[in-house]
Order: sequence, then structure tokens, then C-alpha cells
Amino acid sequence: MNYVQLEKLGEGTYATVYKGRSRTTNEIVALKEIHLDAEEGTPSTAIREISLMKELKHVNIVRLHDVIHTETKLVLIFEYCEQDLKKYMDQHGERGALDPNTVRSFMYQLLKGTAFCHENQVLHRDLKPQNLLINRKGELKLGDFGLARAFGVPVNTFSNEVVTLWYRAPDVLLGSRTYSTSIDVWSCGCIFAEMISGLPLFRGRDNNDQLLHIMRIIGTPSQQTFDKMAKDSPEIQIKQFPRYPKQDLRQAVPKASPHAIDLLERLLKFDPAERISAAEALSHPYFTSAASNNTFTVGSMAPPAFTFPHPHGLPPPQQQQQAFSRPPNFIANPVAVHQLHAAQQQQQAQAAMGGGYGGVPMHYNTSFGHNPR
Amino acid sequence: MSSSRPSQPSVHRQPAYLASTAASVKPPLTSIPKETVPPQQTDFSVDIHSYPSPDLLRLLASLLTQIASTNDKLDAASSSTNGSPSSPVSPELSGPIWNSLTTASRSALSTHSSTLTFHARNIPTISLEAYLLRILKYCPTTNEVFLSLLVYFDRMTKLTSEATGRSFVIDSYNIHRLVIAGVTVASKFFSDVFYTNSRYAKVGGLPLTELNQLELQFLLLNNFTLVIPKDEMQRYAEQLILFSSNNSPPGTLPTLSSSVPPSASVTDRLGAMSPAPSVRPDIAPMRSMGAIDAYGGRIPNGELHASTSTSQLGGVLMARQGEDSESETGGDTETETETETETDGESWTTDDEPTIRPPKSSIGSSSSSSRSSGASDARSICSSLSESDSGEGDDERDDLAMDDDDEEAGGRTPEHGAHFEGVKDGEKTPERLPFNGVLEVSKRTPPGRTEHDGMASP
Repeated sequence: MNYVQLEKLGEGTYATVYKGRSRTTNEIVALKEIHLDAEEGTPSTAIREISLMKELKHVNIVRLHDVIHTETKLVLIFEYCEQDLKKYMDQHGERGALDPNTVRSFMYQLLKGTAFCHENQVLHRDLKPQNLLINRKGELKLGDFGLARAFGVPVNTFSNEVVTLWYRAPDVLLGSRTYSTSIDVWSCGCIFAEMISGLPLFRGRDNNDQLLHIMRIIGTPSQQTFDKMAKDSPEIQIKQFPRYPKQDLRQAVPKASPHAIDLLERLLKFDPAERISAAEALSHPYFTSAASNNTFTVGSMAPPAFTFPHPHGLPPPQQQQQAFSRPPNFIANPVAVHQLHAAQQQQQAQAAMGGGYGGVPMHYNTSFGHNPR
Repeated sequence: MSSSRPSQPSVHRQPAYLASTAASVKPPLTSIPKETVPPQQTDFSVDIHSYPSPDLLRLLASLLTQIASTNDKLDAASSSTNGSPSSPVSPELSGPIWNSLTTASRSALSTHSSTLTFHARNIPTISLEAYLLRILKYCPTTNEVFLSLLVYFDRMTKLTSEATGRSFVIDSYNIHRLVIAGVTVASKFFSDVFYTNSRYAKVGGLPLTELNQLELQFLLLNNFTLVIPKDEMQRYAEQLILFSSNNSPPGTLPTLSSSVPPSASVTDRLGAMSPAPSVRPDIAPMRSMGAIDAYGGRIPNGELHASTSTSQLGGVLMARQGEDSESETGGDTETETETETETDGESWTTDDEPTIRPPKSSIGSSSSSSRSSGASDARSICSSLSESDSGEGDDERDDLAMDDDDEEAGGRTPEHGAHFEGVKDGEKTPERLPFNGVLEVSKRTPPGRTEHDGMASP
């Protein structure tokens, strides 16, 4: 193999992840070794992860560089990221809570990556802090597409056993199998609140308890809303729930700015049909109205991520200003998931977003912004 | 491949194997409809999802059968013409396409073995139609999954030829294996409901280890390009239906020979469903494989492998299937009707095995055996699903359906961490699949077939 295997980064049931270094370029990568199970053959998680991530080339999505096959395993070569958002919050946050600029930057990147998936007909279905990777440049990237699936082709077989409980949308909790992109948006909302407060917003023990946690904060939906949801997704089951009044989100997430609260409310709509889309969210005033946020940013330090020595000796991203001096370009990428063959795709992707393929220095003038102001 | 080229341009929108195999068909398949079908030919829209599955499979079978038999003839023809046409395959292993491939796919493509993996020594006796219907019955899935086979076959033949200059010809020797491998891959990719590989193997009539190989090679030959845009899927559906509506079998084909390995005579032994796991009568088969000739060097190895592994497995498999099949055959029949009538969504939708969980979980179940008896038929698969579950229910579903990968279960959803034990219908539990080695004949892999596992190197 063309990579030197370095220390182990993590281990899952079907894969072990190592840090690795390319023998040819010295680039640091993540090597995800997937054991080919005698019973199962190639795990479906691997099949999905490879085939979907191969097509999703975006700065805010962990790049899959290559796949190598050895006798007993498949090795996925991913771009390397230092840590995940969970760890990042633990280390850099104040009891887990990140400063407003970092939150905004990460949230923007999260939505950007999510919107890109959605444009390309991919549902991530497992967004949570552990699956969002942060590199030393402060770039946030969606990872772990093992649960993801393409939704362009209508295959009626959606499982509702998706998404880690705390980040699972209420419609899915109610049994929906016809959910779509809005389930990822819900997860984004949960993550948003968690970055602000340092704690997961809804911490249920099980499916039903999770619903109750949600309702205690955003209120039990009206019967009309339930009826409508049941009409949209006949498979869901509406039980009797205690009638909780809607709570002021400012209480649940005290540190949130008014714009943040407004965005959060739009992300966390009980009825999936009312949830804002990831693309729409990107142009929410929370991101766009620089003025309102000035008070926060003036004189404040860049997010801790930027204090990492920069691997390429480039100055830390200058895009902070640029990115928000114009309206966020959330439709950034014209690359259709398929159709194009890889070479083309790569070109286009790079043109469109300066996609960093591995150690290639990023073109910083694009799309996402850390530390916006 | 030369001879097939000319027609390519006109058929680029078509399944490539149509192009290449049926390239021959003078008016390329696309145009056939024009003659016979009223103007709006391509515009009619097919609702893929609600199209009755059995019907769809019949169409699919008929198309694939035609392709395969056409190619068989070509094989035969070409074998007489040029001795070892494909022999000195000097792949042009470079260029943009080549470079765009994953390393894994490159190494698969750089040897013949990956395509040969699919090649049976003898033509399986079960008809494609029966084979597909059998899959539908025991591993029910959606139409999209079956349709995707066309797309994938097309992609792999195209990729093979573009990346290596060799051709990957779909014929009667490999079509069954391509189908079962393709269904396995597509189900895992598209659907949250899919089954264990051991189930697919049983349904497909081949040893698990072999299916695993095929699955992987299938992925590699597609360079893991599994995403199918909606419109592409739709196009294939329409082509298929058009094709069938004026099912004019490809006429006799011109040469095309160069692209095709000589596949010949040996087919006569197909009837010889000799369960003899012996694998040895090789010389002839080898010849018949044509393409293999080029690899003379490696054959012996492969052969060893093939014979040992397959014979063992084959034995196991046959034995097992033999016993079981009887017991459940009766039940299965009803099942069949049941499944077949539910053409759209319903049965599948309810199917919930949230399969996307990591595989391990299912291990260690010994319970499966008891369970699978009931579960192993399609009926139970479907029926057991209707309940909606909140995780807990999972373990009650039949084992077959589970293929849960559970790795995440722990982390992901507290509530269903532990549930999937029962699942492996694998080796331990005989499934009642009245399938007494349908592919048995072919199960004995042709020499060289398994060579790639391990020892292939350019």
C-alpha cells in the first residue's frame, strides 16, 4: 500500500481508522480499514460510504481520496481531520459551549455541506457532533456516510431507524418512512443549539422519551399539525401526548443571540414540511446581517482552530471577510452527483469550490467562512 | 471490440451491453422502437415503482437472455475465427479514465480475473426468468433494484472497455452470477431493507464465499459508481419496456468477434448438471472460457482454488439446501403469490429492517436457526415487517431480513443496541429455499475463476 499506517484513531464495529501518511506525497490521511466480513461480504455501510462520498466533492464534506483492496479488507483513504466537533467542543469550548463566532462559522459550514448533499440527492441521516470533523484550519466537514442514502431514486424502503436518537427528527420518531432532507435539517438544529450551550438539546432515553423531550421545549404540536403530518406520512403513528406549551427557546438556549434563536426555531419545526431547508438557512440573517453581529466580533479572537500552525504556510483564511461581504453563495456547486465521470467531476468541483483534495492547499476565497463578521 | 464500435455512437443512451452485444442488431436497439412503436415511443412514461414486479422481471429476463444468447453465438463464432482473440490483452492502463478510478478498481481491472469471476464453467440450467423470480420471491425488493442491474451491467462493460480496452461480454455463462451479485449490491445500496449475504447466496444457489467475491468484484468493476440519477433510471425503464413491446430478437450478428472470447462447445455439458464437485474435467472448460486462455499461466492455481473451495462449499450448500427445500416448498408457493401480487411499495415499504446497521451485530445468533425456519420464506419476510417498531421490535422480525449492521447501534440509538443477534441465517441455519443448487452446475468455477483471490497479479 502506498501509505504508511500510523497510530490508530478509532475503532468501530466494522472499521478501524488509522492515521496514515502517503509514501509519495507525505500527505497525512485517514485510513479507514473495513473488514470484509465472511457472512456479510462488503458491509452496506462501506458500499454507501464509498459510492456516495466518491461523488460528493465539497470542502465541507470529508473527501474520499481512494479505495484500496487488500486480501481481507477494503481501505478507504480519507482526507485527514484533526478532530470531531464533539471533541472540539470539549477542548475548546467553555463547558462545551463555543464562542459565537465559532458557532456561526461551524454552523455555516455544516449547513453548506448539508445543502450540498441535498442538492445531490443524498441524505446523510446521521448528523451529530461526532460525525462532523474539524481540521486545523477550522474547516468543518461532514463525515461518516455509512447511513446515508441517495434519495433521487424513489425506493420506498426507508428505515426509520436512522439518526442517533438525540438528533433524530420528530417525524422520524413518530415512524415516518417518507422523510427527506428535513431530517438532516433537524439534526443541524440540534447541533446548533449544542454548540451554543455546550449540551445536547434533547436528551431522551428512548424513542418516546425523545419525543417528550422535544415537546417539552418546542411544545406539543396542535392536533391540526399532527393530522397534517399523518396525512403527509400515513405511516406515522400519533399517540396521545401530554400537551406541553411551547417554551421560549431563549430559556433552553440562553446564550443564543436573537438571530440565532430565530434560525433555531426554523430549523426545529416539529412538522417537517415547515422546516427551513439547509440552503435557505444559509441566507438567514444570522449569517448575513453582519451589522447585528458586530458587537460580538469586534476585537474577538479567531476561533481556536486557527491557532494551529498552518500546514502550508498560508496565512490563515482571509476569507473571513470575503465570505460574508457578499451573500453566501449557497448554491455553490453545480456538480451533479452522477453523470460526470470522475475526472470531469473533479475539475468542476475544484473550479466551483476550490475543493481541497487532500493536501492541496485550499483556495480560500470560496464559499465557507470561519469567523464571519 | 472494434466491430462493435461503429454502432456505439448511435446507442450511447442505451445499455451498453445492448450496444456491444446487440451492437450487431442492425438498427441498434434504440431504433427498433421507432419502427414498430407509435410516435410517442420514448415519451410514454413508465411508473417504475408501481410496475408489477414479476412483469418487469420477465421483461428483464427476456432482454438479458437475448443479450446473453446473442453473445454466446458470437462467442462460438469468434472462437472458430480467431483462436485467442482476447489473448494478448494489452490494456491501455493509463489515461484519464484509468486515473480516475480507485486503486482497488484499477487493480481489479488490470487482470482478467475479476471479470472471469463471474464466468461459470457451465451454463446454469435455471432460466434467467426463473432465477429472477426466485430472487424476487425470497429476497423481495423494489423494481429499482432490478432495473439498476441494467445500469450497472452497462457501466461495467463500458468501464472495462474504456479503461482497459478489453471487453466484458455478458453471456449465458456469467449472467446469473452478475444478476445475483448485482441484486446484492444494489439492495445494499438502495434500500434500507436487504438481506444477509448468506441469504442472497442461498437464493442465488452459490456458496457464500463465492457470492462475497462476486459482490466485491461487482463493486470494483463499477468503480463503486452506484448512484443512479432518476432520469437515467427512468430511461432504462423505458428502454426496457420499449424493447419488450417490440421484442424483435436481435438478428444474426455479424462478427463482433474480436471483442468476444471464444466460448464454445463445452456448453454441451451444461445439461450435465453433474453435481460432482470435482471440477476437474478442465481442459475443455478452459477452452470454452476462451478468455482464460490468455492466462494460461494462472489457471492451475485458480483451478486448485476453485476446486477445493467450491467443492467443499458446494457440498455443504447442496446438502443443506437439499434437505431444507422440501420442507418448505409448500409454504413457499403461497408465499410466492403473495409477494408477487404486491407489486408496489407495500410489501417493501413495510419491510423495515433497518438494515443499515453494521453487520456484526447479527453474529452469535444461534437462535436464528429456530427462527429461520419460519422466517426463511418470503412470506414471513414480508409479513413480519408490517409492524412498526421503535427499535425494540427489531429482533422480532425475521432473521432473514436482518442484516443489520449494528455497529452503530450502540452509539446511535440507545434503544436498539443489542437486538440483532439473531440474525444470521448464514451457514448455521439451513434456509428453506427450494433451490437445489440451481447454479450448481456452474458452481464449479471455471479454472482460473478464483484466481484473483489472492494470487492474481499482473
